[in-house]
Formats: sequence, structure tokens, C-alpha cells
Amino acid sequence: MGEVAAAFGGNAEDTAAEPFKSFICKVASRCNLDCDYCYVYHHADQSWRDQPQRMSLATAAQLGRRINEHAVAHGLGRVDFILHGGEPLLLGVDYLRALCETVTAHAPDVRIRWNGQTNGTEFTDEVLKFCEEWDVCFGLSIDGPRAANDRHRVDHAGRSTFDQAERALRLLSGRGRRHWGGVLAVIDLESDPVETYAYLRAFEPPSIDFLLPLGHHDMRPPGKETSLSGTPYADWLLAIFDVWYHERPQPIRIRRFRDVIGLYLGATRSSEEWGLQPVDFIVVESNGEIQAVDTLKVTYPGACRLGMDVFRHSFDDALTSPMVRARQQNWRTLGETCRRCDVVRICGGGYFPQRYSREDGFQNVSVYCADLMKLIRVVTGTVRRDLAALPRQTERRTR
Amino acid sequence: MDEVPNPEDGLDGIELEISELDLSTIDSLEGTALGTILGDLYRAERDITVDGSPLGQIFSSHSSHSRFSSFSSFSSFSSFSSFSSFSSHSSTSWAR
Repeated sequence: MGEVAAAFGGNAEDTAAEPFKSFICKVASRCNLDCDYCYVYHHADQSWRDQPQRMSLATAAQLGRRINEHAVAHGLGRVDFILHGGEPLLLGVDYLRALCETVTAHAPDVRIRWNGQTNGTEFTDEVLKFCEEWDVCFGLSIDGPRAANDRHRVDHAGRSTFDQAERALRLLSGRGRRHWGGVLAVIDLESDPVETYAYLRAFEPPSIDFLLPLGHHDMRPPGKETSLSGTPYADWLLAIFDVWYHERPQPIRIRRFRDVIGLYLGATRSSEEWGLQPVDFIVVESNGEIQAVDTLKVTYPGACRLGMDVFRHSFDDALTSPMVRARQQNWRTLGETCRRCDVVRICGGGYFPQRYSREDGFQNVSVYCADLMKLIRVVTGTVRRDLAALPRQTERRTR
Repeated sequence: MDEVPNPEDGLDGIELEISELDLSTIDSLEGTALGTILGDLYRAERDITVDGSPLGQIFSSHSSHSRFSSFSSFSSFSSFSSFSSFSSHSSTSWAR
């Protein structure tokens, strides 16, 4: 554990104070897709192979008890439970229903808000009915129009999954709108950004999150293999920003832009990839193991492992883990370069896994540092100009 | 590591201090992306994750439920004392 703590930037001696409010639960450990960028199956950590295919109801019951215990101890009236995988809908709605009933029955003192993330291939009318029964909100993973989606998001036989994903998109954007969190789309520099945005926008998702491909200094992202000083991802995103920002009305939240603007304007919290706020979620694997954020699987085998499980450990125990404490005290995990940089209050040093190298652990600048800097400069500059153009109160008084 | 950028090289043009906002003037932003974010900020007392989880790479959350998202609902907040008191905050006290 000392080695792990060192990788995370030394010893975080204070006890973490922020309780977990979101529980990412790997109810299914397998997926029917074989996306080449997937952090679960195609990177350094292959621990999914040791997991049961689905979370048993006995594990779900114990998980419910632990969530309840944690909520009561910290006075939480509500927590988020994320049905995650793998592909959670592979379990079938009957099993998902039983799982929700089991967790709820063992967590009587807290309101559970149900969420999920799906690739959409199994999202049917029957699933929508389950969402209505349990008020589940699903995010849909789709990278854009057919060509963009099929470059990466194929099944295990290499076949397109676009038609199924688009069917889910239509269902969620129609009758399922109330149960739709939005879209996750991984950026592919080969795709035209404006075309990608236009395709997704046509379905009027409540939110879109354009994700930077998971990479780090020892596994550089596409387009940054030979140089980290270029800004292809900022340029890609800014092409969308230019359209999105000027559309009116604008009901769609693009999380990456919203976080930058929000933090610039003084938000105290944002999504996990930005800012320096403590991370307040935890992952529970199919077998009940408690783990740190699972995107760390792109770094090194066992990067997420805390050595804890819901049968032997409480979530308060997990709060004492060096890895969890490090993520709760983000400032401590920053390298010197980031600590000296004013922009860190917006970028937070970049997404945690994207700072990794074998040589220096997580104390590097982000592999996307140049992109983040350009994105922040252009977005905040635009906002600053617009705010400056608003009439001042003194000017109004003199009219 | 080769060609690692120096973040300080990119600081040119980034001004983190913003001038004090006069909330009575921002109705003109209604319906814009910026107006919606401002509405979210004030409504949620600066925690823009309040309606959902802050998870990043992993999922889209309830935060996007539309029940609080309209600018008109935000506009109606303007008579609240907490909202108007914000307008007197300086940019520096507002920033962390």
C-alpha cells in the first residue's frame, strides 16, 4: 500500500471527511460490445476476468446495508446508485428489478436515486417500463453518426452496433426523455466535430459529455503520440463550442464547457474531471469489492484495488484508504508545476488517470495539459467578453 | 518525457478575475448557454452537481433532468434574498 500511496503523491495523513454520495455498482462485469478504447477490457488492468458475470442478490443485499450504514452515519438523505458494468442491461429487467428491490429493502433509511449507463443495444420498451417503475435515469454511450460510432463501438464479432444504439437514442429522446441523462461520446479526431455535434443535437439530449480518450504519459492518446504541445482536442472541442455557445435557445448542457464556465464563475463543485473538489463516489465490483474510480484501470494493474469489500468493510473504512484520501485531497496529488499554475482551480490538474506515468505516478501535468489550457483560455475569454458587454448598473441608473 | 508543455506558457490571455456581476442586467442572457449556466450556479448555490453525481468519464446523471433547468425558473429566483445578496459579492470573494 505504501507503493500505491507514493504513486498518488505521498501520504495523505488527514482523515477524509467527504462521505460517498454516489455508488458506481458493477452489476454486470461483462459487455456485449468490444469497444477498442474501453478502460475495463482493453487496458492494463484485467481484473474483470476474475469477477462473477453479475452481482448476486446476496451481494446486493449487503451493498444495500453498507449504503444505509454510510448514509445514516453521515446524515445523507439521498444517494445515487449507478447501475454500471460492463453492460448492466445484459442482466435483463427481471433481474434488475430484483436487484433494485433487494438494495432498497436493505437501505430503509436513505432515498436511493437510480442511474445507469448503457451502450443502448439492449434498451427496449421493456427496459423503459422498468425505468418508469423505478425512476431510473440512463446515460447512453454513442460516439456520433454511423461512421464515427462504428470506428470503435463494435460487437465481439467486429460488427456495427450503430442501428441498435440509434434505436435507443430514438426511444430515449421520445417516450423515454424523462429517464434520459444524456449522451457520453468519446472524441475521435477523425470525426468532424460539428457533424458529430449536429447529429447528437438533433435528438435534443439534455446533456452531452464529449470525453477525452483515456490515455496518460506512457500510453499517449491518438494525435498526441509524438508531441504533447499540440492542441488537437482543444481545437476539436472549440469547433463545437463556437456553434453551441451561439445557439439560442440553448437547452443542451455540454458538460465540458459547462464545467469550465461554472468553475470560472465561481462554482465550488463540478464534474469529476475538473476542479479540485473531493471525489465523493466509490466503485463496487460485481463480487462486492470496494474499489477506487475504475478509469484508473488504464494506468497499471490493481490501480483501483483498495483491498476491501462490502462483506468485511464499511464505506467509512474505504474513506481511510490512502487512495481515496488522495482523491479527496486533490491538491496533495498535484505535481509542482500544477501547484504553481493559477488555472489549476479550473482544470484541477486534469483528469487523474490522464496524469499518470510509471516514473512519476500521478504527479505530472495532464497528458492533455496544452489542450486544457487552450480550451480554458478560449472559453473563459468568450465568457469574459460577454459579461463585460452587459450594461453596468451605474450606466442603467444614468439613463 | 519529451515535449511536455509548460502550463505557464499557456497562461497568456487567461484572466481568472472577473468583474462584479450585476444580476439585474443578465436577463439579456436568457436562453443562452451562458445564461443557463448562470442560472444553474445561482440556483444550486454554486454546486453545479447538486442535481446529480459529479461523475466524469462514467455516466450522465440526473443533473440533466429538466425540472430545474429553465431560465424562467431561474429568473423567478431573482427576488430571493440569497440571490440578490450574491450580487454584492466581489469576484475575488466569489472565487475560491
